[in-house]
Amino acid sequence: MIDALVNGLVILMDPFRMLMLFAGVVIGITVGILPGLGGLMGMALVLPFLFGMDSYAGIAMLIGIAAAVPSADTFPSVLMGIPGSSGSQATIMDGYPMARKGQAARALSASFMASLLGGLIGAAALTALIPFARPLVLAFGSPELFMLTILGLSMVGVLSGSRPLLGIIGAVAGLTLGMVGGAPVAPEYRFVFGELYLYDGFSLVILALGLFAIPEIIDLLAKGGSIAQRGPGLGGGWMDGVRDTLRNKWLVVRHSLFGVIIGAIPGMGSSIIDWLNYGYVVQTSKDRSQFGKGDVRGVIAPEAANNSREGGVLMPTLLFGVPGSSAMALFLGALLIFGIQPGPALLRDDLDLVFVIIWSLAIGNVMGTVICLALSRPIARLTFVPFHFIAPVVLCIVILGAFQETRHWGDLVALFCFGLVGWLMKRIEMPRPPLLIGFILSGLAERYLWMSYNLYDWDWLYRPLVITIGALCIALVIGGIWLKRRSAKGEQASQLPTADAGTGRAQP
Amino acid sequence: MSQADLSLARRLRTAFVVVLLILFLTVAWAAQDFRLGARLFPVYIGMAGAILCVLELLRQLITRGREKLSNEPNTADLSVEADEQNLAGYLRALAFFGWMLGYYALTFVFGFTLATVIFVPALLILRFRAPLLASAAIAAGLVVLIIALQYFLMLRVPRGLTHGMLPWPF
Repeated sequence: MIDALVNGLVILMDPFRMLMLFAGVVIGITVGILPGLGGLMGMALVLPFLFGMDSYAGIAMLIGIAAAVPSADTFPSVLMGIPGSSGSQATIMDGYPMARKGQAARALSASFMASLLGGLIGAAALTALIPFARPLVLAFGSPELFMLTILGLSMVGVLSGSRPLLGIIGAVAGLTLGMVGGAPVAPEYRFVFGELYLYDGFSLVILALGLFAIPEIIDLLAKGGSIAQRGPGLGGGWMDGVRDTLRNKWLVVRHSLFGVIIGAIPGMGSSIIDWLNYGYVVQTSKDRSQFGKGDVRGVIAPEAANNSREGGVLMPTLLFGVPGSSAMALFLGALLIFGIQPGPALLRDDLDLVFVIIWSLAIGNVMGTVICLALSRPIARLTFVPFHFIAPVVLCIVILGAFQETRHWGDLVALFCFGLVGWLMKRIEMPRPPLLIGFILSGLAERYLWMSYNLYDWDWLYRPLVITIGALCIALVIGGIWLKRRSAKGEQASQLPTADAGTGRAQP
Repeated sequence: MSQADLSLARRLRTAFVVVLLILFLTVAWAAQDFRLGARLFPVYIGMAGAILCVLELLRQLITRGREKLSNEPNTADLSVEADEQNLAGYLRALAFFGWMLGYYALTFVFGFTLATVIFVPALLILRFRAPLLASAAIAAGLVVLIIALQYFLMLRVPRGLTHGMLPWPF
């Protein structure tokens, strides 16, 4: 294995292959910065050019895209409160408030550092777990996958902050929206009203852009001025963010490993991992008072997990030929173009290639982070430009990104409607993340519940992993309530006004 | 936030929950016609949603007039400003949704590229009194970006009714 590890690095160090890896990173950063476009788009873009290319170079290029997108999509999330891709939604929760406080550079550099460490941990975990990955992936049947969706839904409470009931209603509304289109377990189209556009259901990208991007653009235009207030400058600069990440090194390690494990489960998309990690860090933190207002841990945890996820996603893709994500489906297609058959035989016959992939992931992460760090200061200055100069550009890109989903006018109508709903939810202080989580988990929850019931009746409830994940859900919910009560008691006992008391919201 | 502003937000919240209640009941009712596999999830989710909405409405009724300040992190609001939470603020924001609809209408007629050329300077000059040169520069930059994205990333832009009648690049 050590031989293959060294051989993989030697193979990748060929100048043309390194150039292709760099090109992949640049493409990944470009599509990551543009809201609505993601790794899938980037890979689809280069796929036609792979025919006839050296297989190692082509694979390095694709992995470069996969490695760079989760870092670059942080720019719009932090600077404008717009998800750069589906994997950077949770970063908005604290990254954007930090930008509004004039700490954009700190949020970005913390995020990039966490992304780098997460990516490297993901690559290392992929290397270390290759011998053990097969039983791990096979241990997850439909009951365990259903329980993972429940784990995701159990985060709704914590993401709803002071309005848990409204948050749960939002999650149920998200589950309902996710039902539109073809039913996952029966030959039936639901709630389509004869509209062809609705047959495939709503797009996650459009929902996310509608809920988060449009309300932000509209409100910033209505308010006038720039995103961040002039005065504090860009904050403490990018070294502060790096220090923040290093100070929270165990948080990075924990969430990176979490990202790898969840990423290894096929179907667990980047958005699920993002929100699970955000919910987890909020739930397990002693001081939760700054979450949602600009706590750097709310940036570090999801970003570390998001990048390490790529290492996890590659496990089922390479080991079984089962794409761990939609982008990995394209990656599989590319492997087939090069005549490479993924699966257990790949580990036996072509371990060098596996290590080329792992090295590409690690080096691609380093390249992506260096480029993003170099760009963070100039791009962070955008937050001081009067927003009415930025808004038309952002709105144009958001509409363009949304239109790429199906290239149907329905995309634009859906974007407008979700934008209006998101704006209204924001104004009435109804939490929006639970709606998105409900939508993401809707199809998975229904499919896995039905499969579990059909395969095992209710006996699936007694499976050890199901009980373990169930206990984790209960522990997270009870732990959250306990922490909330403890912090409330502590606040009462101290009788001291908190720093953010002035921002307390009236709660009818 | 003044009492009147609070009342407006509260009324809107109640109205929104009522709309969701109707939606959930409709989902549960409409799902009765589906096959078993497609029926169970919407029926139970619809019913659960309706029950939660009723509970929320009851909560709102019980706590009416007894408002308290909370320091609990509310992840609902990323940037809700107190001075925007009044009728004038709502109308100001809604007007921009009107601008967005205008952008759509222009796109429907002229296609996305030409619509951008018209919409961007119109918004900047008419609404924000921005300098003509800066507005034109932004519009020109956007057109270059749209063309570049179409060429390099193979993105497609919405076509309007006048598609084919206008010269390149529109």
